[in-house]
Amino acid sequence: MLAIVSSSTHAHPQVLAYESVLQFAPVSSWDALGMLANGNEACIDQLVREVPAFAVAAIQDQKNNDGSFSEDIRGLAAFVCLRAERVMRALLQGNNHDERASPAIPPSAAGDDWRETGQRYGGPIYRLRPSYPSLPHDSRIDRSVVSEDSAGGIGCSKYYESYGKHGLTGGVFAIWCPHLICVGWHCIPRGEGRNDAFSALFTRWKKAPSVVIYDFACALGPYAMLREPEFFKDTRFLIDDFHAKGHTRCTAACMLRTYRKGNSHVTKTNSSAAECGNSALTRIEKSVSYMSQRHAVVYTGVFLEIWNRTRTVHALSIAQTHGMPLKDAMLDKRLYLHLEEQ
Amino acid sequence: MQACSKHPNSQTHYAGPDMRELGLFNFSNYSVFTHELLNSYTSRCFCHPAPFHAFCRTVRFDYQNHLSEHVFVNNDTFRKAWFSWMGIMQLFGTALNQSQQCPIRGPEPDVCIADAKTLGFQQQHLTSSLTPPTEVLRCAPKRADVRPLPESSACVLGDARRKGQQLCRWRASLTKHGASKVGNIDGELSDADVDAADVDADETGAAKQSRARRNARDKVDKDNMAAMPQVVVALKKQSKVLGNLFDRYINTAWEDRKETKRRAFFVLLQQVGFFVGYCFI
Repeated sequence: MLAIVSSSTHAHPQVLAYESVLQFAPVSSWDALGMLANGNEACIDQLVREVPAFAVAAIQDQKNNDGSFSEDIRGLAAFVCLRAERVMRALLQGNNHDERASPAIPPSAAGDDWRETGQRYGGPIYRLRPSYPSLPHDSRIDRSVVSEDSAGGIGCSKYYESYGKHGLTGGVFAIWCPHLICVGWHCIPRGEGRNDAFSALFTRWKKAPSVVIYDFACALGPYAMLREPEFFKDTRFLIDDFHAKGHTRCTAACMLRTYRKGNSHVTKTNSSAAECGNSALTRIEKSVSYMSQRHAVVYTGVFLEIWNRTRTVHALSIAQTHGMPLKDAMLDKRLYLHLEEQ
Repeated sequence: MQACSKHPNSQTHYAGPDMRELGLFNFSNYSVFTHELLNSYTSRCFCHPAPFHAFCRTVRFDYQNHLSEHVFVNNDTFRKAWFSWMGIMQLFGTALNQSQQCPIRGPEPDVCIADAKTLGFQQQHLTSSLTPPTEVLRCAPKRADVRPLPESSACVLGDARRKGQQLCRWRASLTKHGASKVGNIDGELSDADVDAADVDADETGAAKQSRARRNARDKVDKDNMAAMPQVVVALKKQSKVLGNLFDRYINTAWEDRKETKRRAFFVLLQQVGFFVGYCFI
């Protein structure tokens, strides 16, 4: 496809986006962009799923040009696609390691007691978090490094409150599935950063998720792609609806709501799942703040276990009572009403 | 009770009965708690904030109300008993960590939502055993070949990109009057609304402020329109298609009939423009 794209574009190689072009045009969208570059109308459906802004503009362009695509929109598709491919290639060049050659997980790490380590995930540890000595401040806490992109920051104007107030640890980082089940969590010793999301996904997911919804997704995407492009190449990082308002400089390409209509992965996703869970965790916030580490970890673990169990048991009950599949019951409104009652 | 075979001389190591079948939890051979009481605390802490001392207090009141001869254990003992009880409990399922998975999507869902919560404990209680996934272990792979990508080429467009982005946003924000919204005034208000309140009165402070804002807005609008050709030229130098599209859709005055058709391109160009020069850390 690169050859087709290259022959039809006048793009200067240095013009378009750097790494984050992959947020706008991920690998999964390249086929559709290539088809658009070649004037193939069959690309629209795929574009709606992958790059909605391009789909809407292409449809409008067709109307403006009596049913065919203009040279400009085709050229732009080729331009974006070419740039995305170049960036991906550049990222992969620096990541030519073989995962099979990675060191084995030491038994001590694999079998550690979650009450001691403060991390509990449903799956096993698949990989260790690598170190990246050539990346300055690789594992620093970066909740507050937001600055202008020209100044080396992440270019997003959303400002985050700093964690770890009043001599407390950073809190808890949790990953939820869209059914409001907490599939894993860990304690944050100092402060939350993109590193928490990156490390949890990289070490505990065998295959990277196709969609990661995170309040800082605009910055998590580049962070993860720079470090592990092969692993995260098919992952889309999106900002949930609740936090989208704070991202005044980020475009719709980073927002979950943009993909709701066309992308079946996120059509029915409750992006507030984490917020629901977090609001419940508020009930133990005060108690935990006075506890020792072990007690705090156990208390949090017990709370989240009960949360998961209560939700599952109630969904099973709804499924049996109303004769519906469990997957529908997990998203049923009655389940949310039940949660509110709690 | 039987003396511990490993510590026969110890005064404190005794193995007592496991009274699970009676619904009792043998905490220390001297303190025994009912499962009902321990579960009661678990349920309460799930439903509302329930500190141990508050729970113990309510139980003590219950003892008094029932004219019990005994007194309930102190807060510390109950807290220790509850955590010991939780240490041997397997709340959900039989397999390790089965509770940490979705019954539909399993332990590693394809769509996941990540977030943090300020649920911290005192840093003075932190121990070295806490090892979150962010911890880089000694045996972890070292990837020295991963480096920040050079951003020099992205900066070629530096100013043009920033200005282009700004113009895209400004052009998309034009109202039906062909001017952008007045800064710091509700978007619903039109110019006519701003003037209406002070028609019959001397110019008040608010009116002066409105006028100043409107003038500032007009100046920004004028400057932006004037900057368009320069940005178009800069973009065309780098990419003919980008420059052409910018010229055709962004470098335009408001036209009622055409605005709907243009809107899709405002969004597209904003998104394309946004990513130019985005750097990595």
